[in-house]
Amino acid sequence: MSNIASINNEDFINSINEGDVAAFEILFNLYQSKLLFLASNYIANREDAEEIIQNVFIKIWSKKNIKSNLNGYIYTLTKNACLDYLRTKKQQLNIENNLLQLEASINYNALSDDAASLVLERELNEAVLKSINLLPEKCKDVFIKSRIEGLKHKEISKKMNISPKTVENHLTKALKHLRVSLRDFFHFL
Amino acid sequence: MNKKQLIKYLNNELDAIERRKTIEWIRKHPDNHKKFNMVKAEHVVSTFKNIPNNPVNNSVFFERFKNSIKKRKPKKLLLYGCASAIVIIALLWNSSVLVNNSETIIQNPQKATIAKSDGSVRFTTKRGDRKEVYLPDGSKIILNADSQLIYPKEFNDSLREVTLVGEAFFDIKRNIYKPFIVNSNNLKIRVLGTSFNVKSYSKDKKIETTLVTGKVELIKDEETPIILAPSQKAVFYKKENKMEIEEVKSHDVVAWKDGSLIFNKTPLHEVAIDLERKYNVKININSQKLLNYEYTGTFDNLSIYEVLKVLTISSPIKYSVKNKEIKLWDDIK
Repeated sequence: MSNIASINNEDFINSINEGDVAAFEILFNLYQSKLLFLASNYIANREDAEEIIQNVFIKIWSKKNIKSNLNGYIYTLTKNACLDYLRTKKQQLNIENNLLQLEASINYNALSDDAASLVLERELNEAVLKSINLLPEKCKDVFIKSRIEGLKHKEISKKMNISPKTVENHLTKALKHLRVSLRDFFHFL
Repeated sequence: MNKKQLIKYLNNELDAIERRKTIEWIRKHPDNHKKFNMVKAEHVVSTFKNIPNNPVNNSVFFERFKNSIKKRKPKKLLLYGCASAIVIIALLWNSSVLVNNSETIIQNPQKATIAKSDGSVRFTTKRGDRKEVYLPDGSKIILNADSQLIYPKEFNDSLREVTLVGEAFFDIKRNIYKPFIVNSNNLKIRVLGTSFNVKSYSKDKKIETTLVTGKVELIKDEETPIILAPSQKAVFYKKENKMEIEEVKSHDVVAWKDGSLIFNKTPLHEVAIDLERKYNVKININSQKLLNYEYTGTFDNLSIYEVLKVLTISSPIKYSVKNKEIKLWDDIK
């Protein structure tokens, strides 16, 4: 079994930095639900957490400046965005609901704690890899070769000794699988 | 404090008193905080696997993301430009002699706004009127005829809340730290920054909310909020206490703010109500058949006489006018 050890593949990162929408969508599918889950554990308001994560992706997209450590980069952007938000929240005096303010302050400290933050960053990476590694074997191979390593369908078909049509099918299936875990809060559809 | 208690706190399983006690304990000493920080981080990552796997149509979400990056930059610049231009015009207007023009949006701001003793402002329009108002946060609202908007002189720290009776178009300045809430009847509309239309006249049988851009949440009592996507209209039927969602052309719904009325298979009795409000006239429909006749068409900045003419040409309708009262009857053979 060939488990993927990291998504820090140069081709993948370059594609995103060059503004390749397909590559960006993969990144989005791999990270969006997990980042939202992380953020909403530190930010009480669900909708605000959603906004923050949306803005993280907008930032990644507009800066196109990912260096080699993709997971670290995304995690840091998310963490800083959450801290910015919590900073205003904890300073916002709210007589009626002083508890919310205290919790914002606690969460601010909890998220800026380096040791705790390291755990979050590492496990985020694990969770992303796991969602890829959970794909059915062939599916996963095709997905990694195509979307992470950036090989063409023809090359994959040759390498794996399967028809280009099969490559296509595996890829469709893989993308579908990855998308499934994307939107836990899309409850209104 | 033991780990078990902290995890209960994280899972929201404590009552108010216990919760406060836990928070106080965490804040009491940096070591306590350190312990909590780690317990929390580990707890969060241990629940990573709980992220639900709902097979949903999430390409919608990515599409929306793509749209948001497409629109982002030019829109912002345009908005600021418009806003400053409109503010300047409004200022000039205040200092100049009132110009009489029936289609002027801001006719006399002083007359329309009444400051109330509780620090809120009431902004009203009469029949045949249409006015624009800027809220303290810079959000723009266009009030349609025969409507009323109440808003505070200053918004508080955490919320921007207004009350509407009638119809208005909202273009809300984005501020994720202060949600914007429109109260209308017993419906609450909650947004962060977006543009949408609310039609909620007390005499009407329904409340209509149409989203143009962004995202809105409709909250009724304790029920789960309904979230609208752009170009969706939520129709709340007051008597039946029921909500329906329709796909619409949002451009058509808000055409009134530019002086047009656009109808799409709208029953004539509803058309008549819109015309009454816009032209400050009274319309009587003298035929049962006509009441439910479905009208489709556009009145693009027409006078009421032109409207009537269009009606007679496009539909089996005849009319007569006496004073401000218009009678319609059917010409169906």
